[in-house]
Amino acid sequence: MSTTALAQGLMVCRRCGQLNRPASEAGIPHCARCAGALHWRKPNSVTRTWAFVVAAVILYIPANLLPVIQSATITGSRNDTIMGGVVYFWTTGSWMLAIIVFTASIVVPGTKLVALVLLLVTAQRRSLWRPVDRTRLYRLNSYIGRWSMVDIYVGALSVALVQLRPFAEIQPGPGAVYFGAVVILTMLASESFDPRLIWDAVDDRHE
Amino acid sequence: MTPTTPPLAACPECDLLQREPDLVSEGCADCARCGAELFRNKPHSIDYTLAFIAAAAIVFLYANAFPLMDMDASGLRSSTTLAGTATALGKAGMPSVSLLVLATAILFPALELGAMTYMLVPLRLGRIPPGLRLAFRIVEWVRPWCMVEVFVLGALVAYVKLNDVAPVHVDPAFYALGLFVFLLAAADATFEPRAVWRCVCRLQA
Repeated sequence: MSTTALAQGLMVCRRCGQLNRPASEAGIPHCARCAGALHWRKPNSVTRTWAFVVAAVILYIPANLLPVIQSATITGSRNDTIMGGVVYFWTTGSWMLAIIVFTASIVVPGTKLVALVLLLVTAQRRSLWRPVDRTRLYRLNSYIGRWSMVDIYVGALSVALVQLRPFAEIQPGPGAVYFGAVVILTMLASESFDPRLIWDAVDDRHE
Repeated sequence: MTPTTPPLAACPECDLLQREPDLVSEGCADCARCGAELFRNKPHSIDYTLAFIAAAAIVFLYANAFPLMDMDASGLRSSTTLAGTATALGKAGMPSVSLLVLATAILFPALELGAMTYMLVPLRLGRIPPGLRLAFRIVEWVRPWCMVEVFVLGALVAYVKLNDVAPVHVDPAFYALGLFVFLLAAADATFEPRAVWRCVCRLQA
């Protein structure tokens, strides 16, 4: 018969993994080993994650519609959105780079948001559907989010290097702020989701 | 509040309570139910991590001190350091993105190196540094926000892209930054929190 830490009145520290038996007095208990704050489940996990997801979805729109890079050369000037950058790579024959940027900047944030909504809705409905796969999805989500920052760094390096007036100059576009915010918000969203909520529904059903 | 005595572990991702298996050297214990990694058995974890951290710190200093790339457009030259990529965004009127780059590519990696060194050097010498628990929590907290490997990928993309504007030259500091990515990954991979707490227990006894 399997049991959970929660059922046994034990709190696991999310930083160091130590099991703690919290004292009954009020206030947030702290880990006996690393002194980090302990919670049965991440506090307000579902609400917080929804807040980050909704904010990210809203900012995803200007992040993709506004230019992230504004370049001026002697032959003319151009404003590139994220998708514009992908198209530029594709048409100039750098299809490998087009795929990298398209995946990191468009597929990853989009997939992450869809996956988080799926995790949130199933957790809220206390679904029993494929808990192992949903936990894997959560894990994958936390890992891939960081790679969306690629485009921000491409922009940063381009702006720093191409200051060759009057020959060529690159400036960041307003989309970069929104795009950076989307990456941070999706990372915060996956960090605030508690995968144990997936399993609480399973455990309650077995009791 | 007292830690429990029997060797039990709870899965951080599904909360399943399970007996800790005895691991062979280099072994890895995964949760019986959801497959999340519980812990690893890494012999000499502190020694290895310290060695990688020391090497990473030296390489990181070098990568920060010199230009990463430079560009030559028929006599007009420009170059940038790692910090220069952040300050250029600040100058261009994007302080928030500038701060994001500064934090994820320089400050957070430096914080991880600092906290690891502060924690592990005294332990290796047989002393428990004051604030060890805080240093440990900083390391665990800051890790997902260190994104130098993503920066390196971004720099490679920028390199190809900017070569269309004018010839770009990769400088030694950029190779150092690439090496830093591997050294920090090696430090993270050899770091086993349990080794730290075992060492603390031993020193307190």
